[in-house]
Amino acid sequence: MATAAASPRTGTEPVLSVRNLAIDYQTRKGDIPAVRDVTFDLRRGETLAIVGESGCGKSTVAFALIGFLGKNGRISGGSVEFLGQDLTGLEEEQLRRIRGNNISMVYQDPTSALNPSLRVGVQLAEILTEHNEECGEKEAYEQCVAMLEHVHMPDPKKMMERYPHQLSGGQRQRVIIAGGLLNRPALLIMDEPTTALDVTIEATVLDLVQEIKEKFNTAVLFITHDLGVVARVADRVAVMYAGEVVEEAPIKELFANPLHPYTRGLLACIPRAGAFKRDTVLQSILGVVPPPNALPTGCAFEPRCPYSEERSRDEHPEFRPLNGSHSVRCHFAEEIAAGTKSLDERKVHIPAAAVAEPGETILEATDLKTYYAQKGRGLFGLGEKSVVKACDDVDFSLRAGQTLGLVGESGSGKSTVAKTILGLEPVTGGHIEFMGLDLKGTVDDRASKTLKLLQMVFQSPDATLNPTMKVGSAIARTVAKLTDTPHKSVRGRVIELLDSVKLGERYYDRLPRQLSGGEKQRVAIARALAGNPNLIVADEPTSALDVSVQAAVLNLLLEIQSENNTAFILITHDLNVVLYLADWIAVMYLGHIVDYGPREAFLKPPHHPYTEALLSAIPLPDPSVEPKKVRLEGTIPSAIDPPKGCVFNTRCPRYIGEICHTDPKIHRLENGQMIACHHDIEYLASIDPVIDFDEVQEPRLLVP
Amino acid sequence: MAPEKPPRKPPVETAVPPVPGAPAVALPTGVAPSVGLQLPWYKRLWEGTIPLRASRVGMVGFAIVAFWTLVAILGPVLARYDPGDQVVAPIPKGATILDLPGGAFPSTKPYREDNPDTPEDETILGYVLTNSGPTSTAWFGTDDRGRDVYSRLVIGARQVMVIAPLSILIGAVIGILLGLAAGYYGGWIDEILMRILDAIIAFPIIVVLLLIVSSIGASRVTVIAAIAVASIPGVARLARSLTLDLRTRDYVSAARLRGENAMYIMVREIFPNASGPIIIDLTLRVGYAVFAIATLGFLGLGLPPPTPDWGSMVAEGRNFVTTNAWAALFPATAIATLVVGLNLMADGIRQESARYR
Repeated sequence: MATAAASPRTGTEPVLSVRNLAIDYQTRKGDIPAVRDVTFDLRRGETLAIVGESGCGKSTVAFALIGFLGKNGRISGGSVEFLGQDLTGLEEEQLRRIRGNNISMVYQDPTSALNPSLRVGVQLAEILTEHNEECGEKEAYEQCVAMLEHVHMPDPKKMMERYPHQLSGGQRQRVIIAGGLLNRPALLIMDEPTTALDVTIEATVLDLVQEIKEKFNTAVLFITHDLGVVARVADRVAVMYAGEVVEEAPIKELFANPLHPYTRGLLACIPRAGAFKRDTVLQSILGVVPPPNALPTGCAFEPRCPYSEERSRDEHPEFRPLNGSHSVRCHFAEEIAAGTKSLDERKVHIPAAAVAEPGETILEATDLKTYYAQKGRGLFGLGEKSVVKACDDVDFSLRAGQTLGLVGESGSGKSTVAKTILGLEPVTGGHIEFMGLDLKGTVDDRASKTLKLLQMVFQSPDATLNPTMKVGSAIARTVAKLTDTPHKSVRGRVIELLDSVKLGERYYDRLPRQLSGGEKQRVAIARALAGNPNLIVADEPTSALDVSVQAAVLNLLLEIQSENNTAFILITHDLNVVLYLADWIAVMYLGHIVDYGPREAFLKPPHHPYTEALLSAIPLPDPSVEPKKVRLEGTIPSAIDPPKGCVFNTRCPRYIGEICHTDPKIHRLENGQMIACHHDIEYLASIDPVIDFDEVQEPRLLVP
Repeated sequence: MAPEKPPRKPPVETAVPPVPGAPAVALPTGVAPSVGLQLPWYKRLWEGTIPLRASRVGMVGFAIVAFWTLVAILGPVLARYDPGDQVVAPIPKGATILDLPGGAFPSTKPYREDNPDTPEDETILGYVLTNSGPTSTAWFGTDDRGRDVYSRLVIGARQVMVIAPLSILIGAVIGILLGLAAGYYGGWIDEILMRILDAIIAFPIIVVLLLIVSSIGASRVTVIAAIAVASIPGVARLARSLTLDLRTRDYVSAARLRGENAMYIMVREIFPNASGPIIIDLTLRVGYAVFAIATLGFLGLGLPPPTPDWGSMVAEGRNFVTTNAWAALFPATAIATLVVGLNLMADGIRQESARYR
């Protein structure tokens, strides 16, 4: 388009210049300041990431830029200058015109952003014809096909004819990004664009964001909570806390030299690449973000800040540049930078460093199979039934006091394995031997003596507790069912359990809705501990939590493990967390374990090609490390009709040929590692490592 | 102990309470209000009505329903005549039967000037006031048999206000149990239960009601039974669909992992969390039940005469609607207001609870 060609390809003139932006929401209880005093600049060809925990006002800023604050939200101060024009005072119609031609937004959920009843081509072409009357249909079609090619959609012409439901999640997000780029916008806003996607897909979308920024010279505003994602895409980072930007710096500078105590807290509580529980601890700052209607008068972070002083309480710190490009909102930035500021250790959660030692083998699964029969497609569900092999020939063992990490994309069968062991799904074949017991059937067939040995911590803090049952009653019921604790002493035992997860008696009579996500997850852990289990299965226990809460929960799990010598099965998609917590790791793909071994074996080759791709896809919270790029095509196939032979053959970047359609060779190495692949082990061992873990920066702890 | 900082705001909570022995640092969590933790039952009940009280529409509905409930309770006090009694008016002195309004006939009982102790010889001849409009002797007029519409309406309220909720309650208990079982167990139990209920739904509700009542015979018990049976499929389907969703929740898995039986899980883990939508649905259903009772009464299959029944009052009044519309109008209005009131109440609760959830 003519406008795009005429606009400056480079230049230091900012595309977007936000000054002292303040946003209020009107509620029944009066105006609530959601965003206060936000200032930043964004230039062409640059990505600015806004990062912060939930409730910090990140998305509100984005919505203000496009004028979608809703009925009760309004910009109450400051200015938003876009391409030299102040957007704050504009009429709705003028805003719409500017927005349509120059600003695009990509949302978190790719499913709801496309109209399911219109073909992709129609929806894309509409973007061009709607805002530009001169654009003919044929021209629009050609531009759309070209744009789909830019975002690496396979066979763009066919894609134009498809409906959204015929695309995978990653493909949909590409279509949306393509749509966003059609008008060659000066600014592309992305609000958590990869949060709903699997890691391997996320990696390809993040690559795309990098590429289009350079290709189209667009300014990108990238909103995320994930510091790993930030490290991969951003040029500069603005950290938000309680509606304010507290620190802004170029990406490498921020990770190497964080100055605001909140940023330091965020970086200290995430496991760095390759960090291990025996070598590093995760420290986190206590407390949570204050709600916007109860902000402290002085520094918003003061109540939680380990560096705070009298002055922080009364005086609201200014956002000030410290050295050129690094700005920070803290009274004591210079002293913190120099390392001379003393810190109040009571405000930092420092875990006990104890790590459990491995004991005897307590769990052994051999040839474990879990199949689901699908209803037939014929009339009344008759006709040929198809079988979903959710877990097929799975072998592993686990020792007391150790953690087995189960990793894989969604649909790989990791949860099914866990549920089969627990008895929530019936075993179709194979054996599970657990502490001398042969686990068969489902929970309904098992004695309470067996049940109490095996417990689970679930993923979603909101679904893990019955909303109508008091915290104390829920745990008390579990104590009563699983142990012979006399009726009178049940309450005492429940309080003991609440204490052990650092909650205490005052939580006894609370209802789940009166708890925060992290507190709910602690209650769930207390409930799982009620019968003193020997094995706890944790299914993504921290994926719904903010990072600081995640660190506290992970530390709690470690502490429980070292105290009771409990074995854990940890299911997660986050390889950083697995590498930190697990002693053994099993990588699953389509119901099969393709790579299994001690944690150390995963730090260097030989890897299974799928493990290699997963390792390459993890967003490392470390911008100085550049992992080797191994990207997977497409998505995980359906488990109803898995590929013949090696299940990974449809996406394998190291695909050999015909041989891959036969069952793979099983390599068993001396260190206990097992790899299922047709390649020779020598070849797999000779491959370059994905991540050079020696390059990784030492984490900067709050309290050394 | 290290010197503690004076807390600035009094009720501070610790997000992560410190390890015992460690000095306490108070941190605001910004969540978990400590109010409402251990309130007496009546306060919790009052809190439970927030969704209703927050909605103006809901409160209007509630006022109407409360009015009719009050009428039902106070019925005998409010009524001026016995519902079966005829209203007797004095025949004016010197008037002959020909001077009376058309169709009037002398009462077998003499009219006594408001005082039953009036000596026999001083009584005046009375006549039955039939098909009259509102007068001071009969506020809402009288029907074709000379009975007081006002008194019958007030006494009839009690019938409706007992039968409608009672029949829905019975239907709900059965429907919820069936729905919970069908949704929780799934498989063939679900198939069989749902196909049977589908068979009931396949008939128009009025046909189901008529079939049941006419085959057993009209009585209070049959009316209750018929309405209960007719409401089972709807309640069961709702309970089933809610159960299908709730049984996949992690807390249900957690209950199974501690060895709870199916009955406990259905009653304690699933039902309390499904109760919100079910209560709204039941409120609407009580409205339908009022309508069903009236319809049965109108068709002559309701409560057997001489029980005052709004539906049969409309039916009887309908024959004379051209000469005296009042006798049909008042019971019809009563039915309409009660049904509308229940609907408004359900709507109000639904809107507000959607907002609070």
